[in-house]
Amino acid sequence: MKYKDTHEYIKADGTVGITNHAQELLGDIVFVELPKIGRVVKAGEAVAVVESVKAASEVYAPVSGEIIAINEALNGAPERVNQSPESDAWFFKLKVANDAEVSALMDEAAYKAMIG
Amino acid sequence: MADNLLKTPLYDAHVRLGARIVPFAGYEMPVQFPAGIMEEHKHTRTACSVFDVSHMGQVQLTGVPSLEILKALESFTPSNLQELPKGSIKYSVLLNATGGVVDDLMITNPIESSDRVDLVINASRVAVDLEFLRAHLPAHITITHLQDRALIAVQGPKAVAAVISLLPSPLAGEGGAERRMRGFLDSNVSDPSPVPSGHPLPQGERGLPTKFMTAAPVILLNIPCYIARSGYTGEDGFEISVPADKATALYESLLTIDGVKPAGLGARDTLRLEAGLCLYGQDLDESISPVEADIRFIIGKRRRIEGSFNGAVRIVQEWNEKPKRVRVGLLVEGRAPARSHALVFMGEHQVGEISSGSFSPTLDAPIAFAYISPEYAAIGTSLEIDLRGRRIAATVTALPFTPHHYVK
Repeated sequence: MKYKDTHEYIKADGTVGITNHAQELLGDIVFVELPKIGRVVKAGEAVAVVESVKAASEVYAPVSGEIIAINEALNGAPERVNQSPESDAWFFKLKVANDAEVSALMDEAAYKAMIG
Repeated sequence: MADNLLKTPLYDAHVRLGARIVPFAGYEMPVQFPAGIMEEHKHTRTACSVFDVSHMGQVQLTGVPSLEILKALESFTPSNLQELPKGSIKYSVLLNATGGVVDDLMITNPIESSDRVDLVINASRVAVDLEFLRAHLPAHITITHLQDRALIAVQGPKAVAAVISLLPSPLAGEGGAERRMRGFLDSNVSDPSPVPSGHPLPQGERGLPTKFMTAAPVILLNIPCYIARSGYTGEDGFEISVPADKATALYESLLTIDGVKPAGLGARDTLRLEAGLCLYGQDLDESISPVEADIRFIIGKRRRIEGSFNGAVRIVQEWNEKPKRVRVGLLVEGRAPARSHALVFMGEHQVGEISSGSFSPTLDAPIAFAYISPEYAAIGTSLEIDLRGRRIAATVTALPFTPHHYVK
């Protein structure tokens, strides 16, 4: 798993979500807005929105690519992002355009060091 | 965290409880505890939560008889203050020359003093308010900002029982505690007779204020406190002013009581939103009048007729005709909260703007306040909110969104 500095992770199969640390910061999540399948996105582009009771936050594409799947289950149960953000409460899957962008992201040790 | 932020006397207690601390109005404040906003909110509605509101400004006005101070305050507030009975609290606003709200505040005519008036003002407005009061009050009224006191809110259906448990033990031979307790609770629902102006209110269990918006000095845990029966949640409860060096002892003792839990600013915000209560800086500012804010209840009839306060021309005109905009409640469709500054539409016409918005844990739906042109402000009107480029349906809804549980 690789990490972007804005608290998204991407798995080897292109699955993207927000980290457990991110859901802790957000608090009770009440709404998730997912992108459309087929949308081509650039690294760092805002592609989804996650709303907690407190505030709205953007979810950014960690790397460039095409959205090939979205986790529709979150529409009916956004609170699952609080429960299992790094497993079944993923946001979308990317067909990665350039593997070098993935390699350039933080590894787990670097991300853990960043969040302290 | 920036090092120029202030800490309340309860800061270390919040950290021990695992609070998430955020900057708010110049203070490091707990936005939530480990339970989270949703749970803290629901706990307040069903049991009892304790909130640190020590960041708010506690101000004493002294130097002349209370009635004279209340008269002086009337020159820049629209409320009947001369009629405020001893022991009673009035929610009101400070008005600028054009009828805009400089701050909203609580004004207490103390039961035990005839030459003092107490104010509680918003943390974010302390500096502005003190300057405003100095400029507008006669010089022989002394303004004292009490910075050696904390303020603790105890809110919810179990708040009364919690605070009673911290009162000194009743003396033997004065009647059983059970009878006293029953007498106290009975007094909440009986005695609807109006209190004559200038006369002390009846007091309940060992001096605790019995009705919402009354206050009294009370000893809790052997600490001399000043207790107001008031709050910002829509629930019954108290706001307890306590010496700063005793605040942690009181706070932690409250938290040992069965059914009492800590809650942060996040829950305080969703609770006040459900209760229809304004937040200064979002729902009130120096351009907004109390008629526009739909807090007409603070405007006294005598004051309206006399027209003798800052901004009276505008406020009386808005009262009799229509303001340019009025605050309404909006029930928002779907799950996405509409936040402040989101624009509100009727078809292609922009008719207003959200001032506060969040998610209502009680209604399990997004709710908001918006300032709307009066022609679109009728209860039941269907409007649309622009949310990140999408239109979301919303319905004008009566406030409060959830019923108040005040003991009148």
